[in-house]
Amino acid sequence: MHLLPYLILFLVLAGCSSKLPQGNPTKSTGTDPYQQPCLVDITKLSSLNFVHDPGDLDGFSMPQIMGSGAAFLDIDGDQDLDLLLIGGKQPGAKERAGGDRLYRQEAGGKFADITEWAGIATGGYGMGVAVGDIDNDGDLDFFLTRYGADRLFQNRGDGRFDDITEKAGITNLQWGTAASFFDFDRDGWLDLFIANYVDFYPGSVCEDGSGRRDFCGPESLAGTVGRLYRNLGKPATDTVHSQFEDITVPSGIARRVGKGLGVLCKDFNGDGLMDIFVANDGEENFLWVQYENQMFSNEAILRGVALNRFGEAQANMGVVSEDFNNDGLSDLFVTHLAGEYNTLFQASQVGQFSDRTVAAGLSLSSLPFTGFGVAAADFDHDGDVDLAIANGGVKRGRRAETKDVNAFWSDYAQRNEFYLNDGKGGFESQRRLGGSDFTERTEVSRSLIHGDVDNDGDVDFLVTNCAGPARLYRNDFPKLGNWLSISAIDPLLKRSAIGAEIQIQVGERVITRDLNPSTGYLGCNDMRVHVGLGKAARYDAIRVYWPNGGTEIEEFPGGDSNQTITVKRGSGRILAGDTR
Amino acid sequence: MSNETPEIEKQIDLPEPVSTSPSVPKKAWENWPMLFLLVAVGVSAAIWWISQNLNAMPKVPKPDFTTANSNVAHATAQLLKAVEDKPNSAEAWGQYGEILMAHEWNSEALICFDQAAKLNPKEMRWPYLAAILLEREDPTLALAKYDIATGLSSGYAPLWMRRGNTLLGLNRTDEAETSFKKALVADKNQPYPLIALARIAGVRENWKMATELLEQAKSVAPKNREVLVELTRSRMLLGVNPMLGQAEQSAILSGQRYDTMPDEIYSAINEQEVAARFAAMQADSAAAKGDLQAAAEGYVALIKQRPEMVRPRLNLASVFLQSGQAPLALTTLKEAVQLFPEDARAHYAYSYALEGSQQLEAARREREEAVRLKPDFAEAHFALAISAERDGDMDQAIQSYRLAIQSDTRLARAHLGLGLALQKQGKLEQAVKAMDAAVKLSPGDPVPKGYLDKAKALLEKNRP
Repeated sequence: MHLLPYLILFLVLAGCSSKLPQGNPTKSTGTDPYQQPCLVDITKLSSLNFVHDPGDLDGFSMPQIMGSGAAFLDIDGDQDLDLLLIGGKQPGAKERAGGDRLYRQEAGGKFADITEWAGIATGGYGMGVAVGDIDNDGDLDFFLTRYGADRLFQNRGDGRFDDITEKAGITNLQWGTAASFFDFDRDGWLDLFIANYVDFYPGSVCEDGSGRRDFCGPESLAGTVGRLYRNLGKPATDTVHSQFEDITVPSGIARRVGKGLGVLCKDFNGDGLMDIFVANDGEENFLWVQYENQMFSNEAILRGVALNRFGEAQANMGVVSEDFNNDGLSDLFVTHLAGEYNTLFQASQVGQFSDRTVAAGLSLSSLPFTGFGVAAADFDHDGDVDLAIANGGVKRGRRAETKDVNAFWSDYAQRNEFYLNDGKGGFESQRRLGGSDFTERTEVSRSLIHGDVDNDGDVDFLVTNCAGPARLYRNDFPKLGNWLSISAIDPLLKRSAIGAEIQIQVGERVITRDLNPSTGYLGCNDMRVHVGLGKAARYDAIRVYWPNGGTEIEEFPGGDSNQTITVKRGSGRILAGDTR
Repeated sequence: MSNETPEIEKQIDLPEPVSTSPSVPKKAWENWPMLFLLVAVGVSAAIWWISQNLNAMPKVPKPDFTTANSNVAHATAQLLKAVEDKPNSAEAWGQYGEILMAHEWNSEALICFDQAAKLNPKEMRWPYLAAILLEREDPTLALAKYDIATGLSSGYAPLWMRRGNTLLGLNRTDEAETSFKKALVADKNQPYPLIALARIAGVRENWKMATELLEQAKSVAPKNREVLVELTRSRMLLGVNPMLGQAEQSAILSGQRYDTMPDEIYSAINEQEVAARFAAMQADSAAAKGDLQAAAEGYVALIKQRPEMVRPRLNLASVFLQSGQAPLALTTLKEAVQLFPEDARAHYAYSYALEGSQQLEAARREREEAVRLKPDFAEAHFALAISAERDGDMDQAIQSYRLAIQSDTRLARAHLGLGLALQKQGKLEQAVKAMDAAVKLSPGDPVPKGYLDKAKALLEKNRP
């Protein structure tokens, strides 16, 4: 019995360099079938030419080292993923346009730059992005965080956008990083949480231990308050634009100053109300637990997600939540600085967590790396959630012997990591992944977003790099099982039910996933929920816990695996009362 | 078998061996080749030994100073020279390692500590510091060095704590538990080994034991944030209503970083940090010259640079007080106390700021906290005695004066204060004795002399 996980791992690894063609036959197997990579860099193949521009590096301006995010989103409703890449440009230079680029996916999987046509060019130093349909009109809008004023863009319906920041009443002038749309008050309109980072002024001078100029770290800078905006919907006076109200103070969020880099919104304690987890850099994390009066209380320390097992506050950055050990409870995984390990907060009961990183095999391998972006998905369809982590230093480390970056960045460059899950929540780092350059290339990586870019039923991903190209990786893992891709739509709201919990019944097993695209670091993932089913050729039922309207649970009938399905609210069997 | 041959020899009766050549004495020159060979072997052995020993001495690591802060470079170069001057001095290598470690030249520091340990294998500091450097890069090697260090000194609690944490990182929980127990034996006055043991109990889902251990920790450190938070969590997980008191509530809400186990050896590394020391010196110098604005700016910058240090905050408050900005001093010290709740100096300084703003009860409480945290803090005992005396609590005042004197027998003010307090209680003979000690400790000071003369006169007058 104990050999089974290793056997699975062996098979996966063997498969990566197998002679036999594996996976989707439409994918290239490369010239040498013995070296078939599991993750294929298809950046050039996809005509993706985005290179992050951090601006002039002489000043070691802190935003430059924090990198930037990206989003997979279908801007035009043509059922394929388009791509928004957040750019940098000179921090603090107001007059210069930002470096954000919007790419539309076209025939043959090529991406075309439509930035100017789409009208998203804007100033400020770009950081992160959140995606959601803020006005319930059936298309996706997005919010951009900046070192500078954040921006909100509303989709006209055809993939062109209007900057409605001021009209919508959003004025976040602090250094926004991660952001997430979620319907915290269950009124059907997506609200917005923004994590703000530190109070950094251009021209701040920081040094490393020996007095050499280096990028500032959070320790010498004051923290800031995250912001919560309530979406008021479209008022009678302005039926075009959604209006937002800043409720940071009345909601209780303003009670704690933090240094937020990661955000994850979900119902952590199972009371049907959405909560907010904020990963703070170098400080205790926050878990803002919502109460019936729509007030939030920070309970991170009592629920075991504020600090690591040694009681230390770590440099918390990217965050994902998945059920890593298949026990039906969602766990949390947070990426960290080199010298700290990435932390797995495993749920021991609903709403209570313990640091179980070491036991899960995730500690030692991550010590040399500074992890930022993270994707948790079942890449090989064996029925458990694997991890891909984007790494890159923030302080001068040992100079990397690499040609992947120039001399300046070689002090910060690191390789990425990929972990396969053994099915019980134990992980093994895959240092050489079938010749893939994802784990071998040495760059200063930051955001990592995932989605089924080629609509072939598996999860691909994209990595952003400081001062480097965004790289798109196609999933060519040999598949050990079947899959399901689920869209959960609320027809009344004309949008994806962000915040829904989806349970897939497969025999005795219940697989739980959240519909929450805003995870990881500064990025936004595919809205569809992807599930690896292992050997199951069928699933028996899908249950959806809809996020708004109270405690409605709806069940949808089973079917064959290996398909993309859409479950629409109101078309299933209601298991618990509809309170709408 | 060894006994068989002689038996056989006896039985066969072997003949005597016959010499085939005449026995001729060898001439001296005929032994030269042998002598030459012996000398050659000897010389080769000596060369080999020397080369081996020379090879054992590593090249003195020299980090790239060119881009470093000039003060750092200068201070580091001095210690580098000390190593070059005395390459066989373990202390020189160790000190050079310390300054390298303080400025994050970690791989170079490691070479130095290893060499220092080689030159003085009985000194615990060098393998200990090497282990700290390796803790995050190579925990297994760090553990080996911790084991060497524990072999050299088994009574240093922080060493056992760090070793335990390293073992935890390697998923060797049982061994970690043993290590934490040894830390507890080494220092029963710290809550940290108990907290660590409670965490292990928590990992094993034994919340009853975790709660008991944390109750013990609370008895050792009743205001320690980590203890209060972990105890509350442990009780919650045990299913007991945690019944949050004010202390627990404020501990949960405060957000302040947990204190760590005091570690003198490791703290010495921070003392080596030249950049911070230089900034502190500049600010101190400005304060001494009366340039209060420059001093305040210097301390503010230093606080930003080294937020984990309490001293710059206390000095900044002092500058504020000197420049007549008492409210700012009060705010600064309040923040210092919140950030460093276990620092007796912060509580002591804050008490004076509170006293200055007429918050006398609060001032007394801070003094009580200061002496609780540092029972040999003479100045704080003295200040507490003043507070008690002001409150009319003479017994407490006398006790505090006595504790101040016990902690620092040369504290003339405490002797005088004790004398005056005793005099108020009518204990004139004891009062005279205490004042006499004060006079002897400050011979030129007319104040204690005046009080002594008056007390003596009173004693004389009251004699039957």
